[in-house]
Amino acid sequence: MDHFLIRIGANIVIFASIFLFPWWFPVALALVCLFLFENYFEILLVGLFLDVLYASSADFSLSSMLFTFAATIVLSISFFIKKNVAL
Amino acid sequence: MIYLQKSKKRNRRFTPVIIIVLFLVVSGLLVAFMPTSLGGAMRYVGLPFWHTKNFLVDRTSHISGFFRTKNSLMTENDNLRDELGSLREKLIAYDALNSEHARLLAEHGRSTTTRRILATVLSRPPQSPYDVLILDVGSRDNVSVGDVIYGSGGIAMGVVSETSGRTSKVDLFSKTGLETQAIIERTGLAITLRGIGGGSFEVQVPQEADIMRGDTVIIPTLETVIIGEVVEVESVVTSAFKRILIQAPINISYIRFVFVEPKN
Repeated sequence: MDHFLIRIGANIVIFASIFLFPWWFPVALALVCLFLFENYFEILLVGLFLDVLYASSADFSLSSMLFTFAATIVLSISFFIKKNVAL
Repeated sequence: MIYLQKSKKRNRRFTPVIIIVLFLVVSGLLVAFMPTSLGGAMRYVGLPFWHTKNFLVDRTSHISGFFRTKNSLMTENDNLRDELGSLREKLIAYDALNSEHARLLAEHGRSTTTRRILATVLSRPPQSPYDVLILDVGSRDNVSVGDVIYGSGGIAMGVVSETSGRTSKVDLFSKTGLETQAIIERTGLAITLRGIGGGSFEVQVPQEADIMRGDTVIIPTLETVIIGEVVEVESVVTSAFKRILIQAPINISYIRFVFVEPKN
């Protein structure tokens, strides 16, 4: 239960930092959480929120979802690492 | 009868993949088909955070002064006084030229008088990764997509790319890859600026093009609206072109207020 509460607390901090701090700060926090918590799918939302908030909507292209794609790749890599490497 | 249980382990292996693929498809569709609504909703959620941050920054910005020595403050004060004196002289000349320009335009039946809306910058680079500003004015304040944004000194900064009720998003001219038509003021040479982020632009011109360090770059409008200043001319003898680096005269990381000029 404590673990669950910590995870929710971390998510709230990351979500607030999207609005309050430079973009790399929530990204760094999300990366830390990715290796602290199991199946940290929330990183996909962090990427999506950054894209929706700051990317241009005038012309939809792959570059409009840069953070979302980056989050997907990082999440996939973390699954691979956690499965194959004993930490 | 005994039935073999299906392996749950194999299904579990594919669950993350399914979640990721589903998420990508759904978010891709959302971003492609309703980007304005999503962005507007996110900015609406962010409003209280940004207002609180601006309030706290305003109240605490003077704290660093307590940790500075008297001598450093006096030196800085002297330097600023000198700078202020020279700027005041330039400003007098600028005002005279500006009024002369307006009078000449009026004589030819044109006017440069426009209404501008003051806006607070809620988010700016480096907080935003894409050279984007978020302003506290939106469609309720008559701001619409395509409106040009000016800095406090009348410097053109970008265009509104998205609006919602109380906020709007601005793409700075220096946004990576964004192309803007401009003119070198001294020679009248038309160029196409290409944003490279952080308030900077680059342009490729033929070797024989007359561009010098310190040249002012303006946008092609009736008024003389500055967009940047040439800071570097990179020329290689073996190349037919030279690379010009242009910098906006405002530090975009510190702007607090801008002016929106509505098209209508």
